[in-house]
Amino acid sequence: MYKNLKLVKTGLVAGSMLLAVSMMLSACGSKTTQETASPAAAKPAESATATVTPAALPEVKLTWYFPGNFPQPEQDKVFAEVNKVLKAKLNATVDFKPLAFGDYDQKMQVVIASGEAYDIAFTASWINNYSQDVAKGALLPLDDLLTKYAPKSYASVPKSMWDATKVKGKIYGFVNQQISARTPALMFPKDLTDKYKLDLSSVSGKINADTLNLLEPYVTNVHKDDPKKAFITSFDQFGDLFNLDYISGFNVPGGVDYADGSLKVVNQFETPQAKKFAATMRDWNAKGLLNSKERVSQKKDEWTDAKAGKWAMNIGGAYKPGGNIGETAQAGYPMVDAPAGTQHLTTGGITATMQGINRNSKNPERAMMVLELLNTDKDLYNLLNFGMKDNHFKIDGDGFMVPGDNQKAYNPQVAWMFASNFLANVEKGMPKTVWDDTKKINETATPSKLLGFNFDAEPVKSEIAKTSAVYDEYSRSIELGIASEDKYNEFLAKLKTAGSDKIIAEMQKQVDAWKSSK
Amino acid sequence: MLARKTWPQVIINLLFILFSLTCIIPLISIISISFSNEVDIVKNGYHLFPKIFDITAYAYILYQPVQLLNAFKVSLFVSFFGTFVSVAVMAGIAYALSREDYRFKNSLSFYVFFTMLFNGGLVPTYILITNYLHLKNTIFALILPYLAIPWFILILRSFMQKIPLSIVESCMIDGASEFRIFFQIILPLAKPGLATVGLFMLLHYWNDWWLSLLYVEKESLVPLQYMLYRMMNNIQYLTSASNMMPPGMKNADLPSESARMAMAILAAGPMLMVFPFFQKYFVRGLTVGAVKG
Repeated sequence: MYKNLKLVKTGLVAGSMLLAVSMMLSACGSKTTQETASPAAAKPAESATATVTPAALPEVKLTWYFPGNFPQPEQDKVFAEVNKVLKAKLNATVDFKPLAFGDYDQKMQVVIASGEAYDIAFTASWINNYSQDVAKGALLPLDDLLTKYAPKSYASVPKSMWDATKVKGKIYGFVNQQISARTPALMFPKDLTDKYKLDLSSVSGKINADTLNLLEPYVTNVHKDDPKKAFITSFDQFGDLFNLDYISGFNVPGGVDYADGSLKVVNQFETPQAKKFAATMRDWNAKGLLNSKERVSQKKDEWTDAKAGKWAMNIGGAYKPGGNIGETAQAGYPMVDAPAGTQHLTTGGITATMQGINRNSKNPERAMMVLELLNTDKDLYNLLNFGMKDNHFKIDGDGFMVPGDNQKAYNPQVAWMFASNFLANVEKGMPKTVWDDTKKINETATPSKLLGFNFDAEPVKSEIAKTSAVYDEYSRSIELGIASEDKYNEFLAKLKTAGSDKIIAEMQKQVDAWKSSK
Repeated sequence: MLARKTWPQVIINLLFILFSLTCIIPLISIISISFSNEVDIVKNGYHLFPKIFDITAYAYILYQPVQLLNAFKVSLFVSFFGTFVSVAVMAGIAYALSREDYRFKNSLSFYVFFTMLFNGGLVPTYILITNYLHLKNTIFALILPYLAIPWFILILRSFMQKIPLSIVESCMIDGASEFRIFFQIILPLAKPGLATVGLFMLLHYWNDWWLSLLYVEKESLVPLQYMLYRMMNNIQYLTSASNMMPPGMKNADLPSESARMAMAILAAGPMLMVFPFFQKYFVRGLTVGAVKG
């Protein structure tokens, strides 16, 4: 008895200690969420349009977290070069903290939670989630800083894009311009389209679930002569052609029709288009056009199939001018591509590439200057992107960029990561006007009615996890045409049990609130 | 030889042969993939023995041996130094807990045991290590957090409880100090237990990438496992999230299947060598720990 009492006592003491300590810690943590007046506002306004004399600026050291194909062998050399320029022009140096894609989310979560005073971090709809970071209070509102310290960049980005980043009327993300308007690409091996006389313009921009039959003759012919080659796409990639703006990605139920002014959230898996796609795949599988038997046993990596010469065609990725250069490099033989549907401008496409400035940053205005410089200084931007000229990359006689002898040592391939993609060197094989073309696509794309809406997934987090698991379970058999109609209905029923209705109701609630606040 | 064996024995032997094969074959196939030609894998699938012998994968990984060797060095140091220190620390706590005549035995046991069930969570731990102990980007960030693992302390404690208290008492009568008893009597007697826990710790430290993910940003402090984990994790991320990412990434230069396996071989190899040396202590130490949990 006495022993037990002692145990209880110890337990109580330990418990209360723990409570006290955790309260202390949470008090430390919550410092980050307190409103602080933007320090930039307290400083006298310098006219940033006039060239800043570095001598007038105090020396600062900034920290910048970003993901990419890192580590690169010679990254430190390149960063040192970049810092030389930054030192000369802004009297600032940046402590670059490149992280591998797979680590970035986890790392940023602890960095933000610990209240570390970093300055800049890459944030997006797909990694280091932008809306969650804003909700956590990790990011600084940028409106004043942008107009004061980055006027050129601010002016060069269309207003609709800035609007897309706004949360409660404030901009928290510095947009890196790139191809923001999205539609999947139709990709074909060039020798096949030549051999089977497929006219790209006859299918370009016309493909959706109902018009897949346009492609059937071509796929059938290719498959007849070479049974190894198949039609390849995936449910989520083809899902971009259902004409819906998905609120939390394709694998979570909930999307709004691009043209629907009433903003009704629907479950994309219950739409006629999705059912039609499943039915077509079932039919094609029966005809043997998908090589499902072989593909079901391997993991999903379409480019491996491409390298092995198993593509008749592929629908996926995102169409962009000059994109076939990348595809050719990836496949190892010439590829041609065309846009599959109409391009739409969505919030996700715009918020896919942004820099955020940390609320705890000691020098937010200097961080903004660095971003402005990178977005206006072509040479500096290309140095950071492609490494050193004549070493990691070369410029040929016609002004195109070709790989340098030492490209292997620095090639992170994330041109949209650092700043506006439109400053990048044009690679050999791309049209000279590639960036103007891209800009044009962004400007002419139909904006989604949901542009500027950012979903806060927190209230339905567990339902999202459950529905994603259901999606993962069934999607492969749907895209390979193995799932019967009953199986598809079972998939819908399971989504319901996993809470799809609750997710859609929550989305609708937030969409309505957003609509009335506009 | 076989004739003299009875049927049941043959069946049992067969079962064990099968079981051993299920353990060995995956390892062989990993080795074989690492020596296979990538194009051949893509076209014809895996084979137990490489069809086309090819060392491109190793060439790819060893393209920059400096980084790899450095990671190897870090891993070795962390594993051996960390194991040594942590076993010393844990043996000390375990001995104190195993002594019947220690007054705070119960409360200290509870204190150790409690951390097994509840911990502060990721963020407080991170804050402690980075903001209070300032261990970020130091080698000790990879060692310190694992110095005392409650489960192993309990294993050691139950092992040491087997040593009769009368031994300790007779030493005291002979005038030995507590330290002397601990170092000269108890530790040698607890050797199997120490070896078991030591091996566990060695594997624990060797296989750990979590701490380096959190606390290391300098390339010179990256251990081998983290390099491997980073590579694999990246591949997985890029193949799963590629439809959400901005276009323009070519994953053409993701390491191939064979390179991944080659990396796995390099990461697991050294421990495969170490294991046999611990074998003899291993069985004894483990059972003693398990019987009286």
